[in-house]
Amino acid sequence: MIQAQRRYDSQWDLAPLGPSVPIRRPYAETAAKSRLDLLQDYVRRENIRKSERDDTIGDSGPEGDAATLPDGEAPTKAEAEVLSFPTYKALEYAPSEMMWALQEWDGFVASIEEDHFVGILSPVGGGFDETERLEYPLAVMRERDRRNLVPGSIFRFTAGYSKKRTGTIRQQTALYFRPRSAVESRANQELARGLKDLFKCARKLPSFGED
Amino acid sequence: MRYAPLNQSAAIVVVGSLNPAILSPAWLALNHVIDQDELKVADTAVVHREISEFSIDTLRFQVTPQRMLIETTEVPFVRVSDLMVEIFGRLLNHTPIQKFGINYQIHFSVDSATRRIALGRALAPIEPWGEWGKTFESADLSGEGGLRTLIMEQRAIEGRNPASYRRVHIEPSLMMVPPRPTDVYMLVNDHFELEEQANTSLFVDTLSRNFDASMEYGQKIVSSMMDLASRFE
Repeated sequence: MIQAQRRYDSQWDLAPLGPSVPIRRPYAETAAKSRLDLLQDYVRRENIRKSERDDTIGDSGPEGDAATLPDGEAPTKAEAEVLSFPTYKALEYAPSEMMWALQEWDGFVASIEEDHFVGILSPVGGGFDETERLEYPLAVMRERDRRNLVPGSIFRFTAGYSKKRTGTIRQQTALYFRPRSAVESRANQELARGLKDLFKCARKLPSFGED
Repeated sequence: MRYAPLNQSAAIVVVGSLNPAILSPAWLALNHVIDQDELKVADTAVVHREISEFSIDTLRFQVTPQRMLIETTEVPFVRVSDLMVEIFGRLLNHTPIQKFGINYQIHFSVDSATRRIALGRALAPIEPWGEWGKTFESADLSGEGGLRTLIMEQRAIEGRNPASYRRVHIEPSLMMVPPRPTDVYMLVNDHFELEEQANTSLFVDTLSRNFDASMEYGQKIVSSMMDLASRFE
């Protein structure tokens, strides 16, 4: 990653902390050529190489093979671009709206009412001693989440702020239903067990989560 | 956080032996990792035996035979961890994985160019650079030199393989075009080395146990840097 970041650094004329200087993007000249084009170039070259090798082996044996196999050849610019992929680089754009979290909770669905569900929340990393109750309107849920909503579903609830590019800041929440296999993985068993215990207390249903 | 993020993301990078050709939006949908609605909005750049790159809404996937990255800019960030656990815990549970990194990156503005310069000076004082250091200063802000990039590293993290580390990068943000003199970029890279004969379950276990704590730790480091910046005029 460090190498990738350095590579990224070297692609930019970085401004030191403070001043703003014109930015040069050396890779702009290749921007017109998409990664897919570069990949197709690479695959085409590989095919040519293979056909050359097959021909050489057939025609002149190992010596010719060794002489023509380009194993040690430095990659072309296009190949290098593809072979160095993926590079981990900084985000390059400002989204129209960015939410950041102030607090996150793990929770489970305790009951489903006509127009909302009731969830019991426990702060992430905070144990299960302190719980809170959540009433969440079904109308603002994603259709898929609404379809799969059952008592005992485990979710992550996030509260925070979001800021628009225009500067408007507002409070925002996010609800994400976690896949069962992730929650019940070995490492998350404590979470699953804690939430199950809470759920049992809340609903007195000993068979929760054991279908 | 003292300053609102201009952009932020969480990413997990896995290093192991992977098969990019099978990792595609269609395969994820077929195995119920994503749903049909997400499949419809998937944007596939390339799926090939050497590389696979696609995005699904705010999720970005990059896979090569040696590395796989899943990144999201949308909270809750735990979704990237859940995706990795789904893929390697439920579906590809015999994939050798040697190491992985949990990454948090953020761009934020400290609201003033002089404050950003002061932050740079605090982190990398110019005095130790002697005569050359003096040349960094300029009456004109656009001529001011100074910190370009700084990487700090924490070793010997309790409970982890000794080769694991946590690195924090800080540098001027280049996200805006042209870049603004107020913006800062930070990356927290929490690197985990697994045992040489690591199996997938060890990766899944280590990731699940550490993801939330790693994100929280990274955000604390960023917050402390924001606090430091806010002390300057």
